[in-house]
Amino acid sequence: MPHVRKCPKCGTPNQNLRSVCYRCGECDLTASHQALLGGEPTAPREFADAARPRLYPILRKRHAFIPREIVEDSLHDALLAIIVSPDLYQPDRGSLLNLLVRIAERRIVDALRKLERWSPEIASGGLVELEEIEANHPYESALTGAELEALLAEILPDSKDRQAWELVCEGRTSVDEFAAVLGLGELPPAQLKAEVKRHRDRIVAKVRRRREEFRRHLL
Amino acid sequence: MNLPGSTARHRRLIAGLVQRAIDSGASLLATDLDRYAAAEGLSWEQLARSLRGTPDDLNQVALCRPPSAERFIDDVQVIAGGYVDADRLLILLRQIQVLGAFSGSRSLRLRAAGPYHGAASAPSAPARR
Repeated sequence: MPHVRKCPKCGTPNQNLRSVCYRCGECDLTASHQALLGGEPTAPREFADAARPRLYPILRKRHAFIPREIVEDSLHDALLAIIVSPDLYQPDRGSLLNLLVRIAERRIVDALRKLERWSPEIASGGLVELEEIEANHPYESALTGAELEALLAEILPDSKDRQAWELVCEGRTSVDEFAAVLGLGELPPAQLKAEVKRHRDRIVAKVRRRREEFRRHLL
Repeated sequence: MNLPGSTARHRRLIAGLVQRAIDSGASLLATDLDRYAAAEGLSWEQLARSLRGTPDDLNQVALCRPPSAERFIDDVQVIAGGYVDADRLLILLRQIQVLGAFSGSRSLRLRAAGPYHGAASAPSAPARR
């Protein structure tokens, strides 16, 4: 008889055999990782269901200047890396979501290196290499972070613009917050609002242009 | 099957994940089902229909690990999970298992039931189709 699991945190029974508790935001990812380690046949499906809704928005927000195709491929590779080798994740070394983000970002960097020919001699190719890297240095992401920072700096050379872009990515809409990072100073409210909008549109347009350039490389 | 979060984007991402699993030869049913469909000259949609499901339903099945030898029938029931007809899936997976045994291929590698003991084989680098 098929076993029916319950959410370990809130006790919700798994009615449709998917095993992912949609009411509980925290336990499903850990539970599905445990299921992967336990060798359950549906564990990869549950893990993908649990991880994807949280991982994808993070990647899309953090790398909004990168074409969707690259971000989605990196998402899939990160999920598959853990599905194939669930013991890559060691709970005492950080959160699983963090590890997924880092694996995905490594893949994004690989894709960017290929596109931009930044340093083809060190571009790592596949999932196997990725797993080896993760196994040896699971939480080193300085290279990834630095390269992505460099790319953003290339797109938006002005640090004020980059800070404003962070606000855009975080979904902030406050005129005052944008005005503060852009250093717009004292202006009448209507004028300030118009200035913030102008700068915001300019920054978003720059990022979009770059994203379209990437896409043209891809397609 | 209409599931929570079953948006067009969700379906696209799941389909992408299945394709990536196939491309990388990951040890999931995706690989076995894709090989079977190719050998039988079936499209993914035709294979899904033969199991009384949709391509999206079949994607959900494809994301599972092969059933374990010791709990084959129970595992197939769980894998089918309301997405496809469990009886038809059972027949299909048995067929793939037998074909794999005859051909000596690693198709539908039956797993030993129990916890994960490390990856049997790491998938090769994903290649775009």
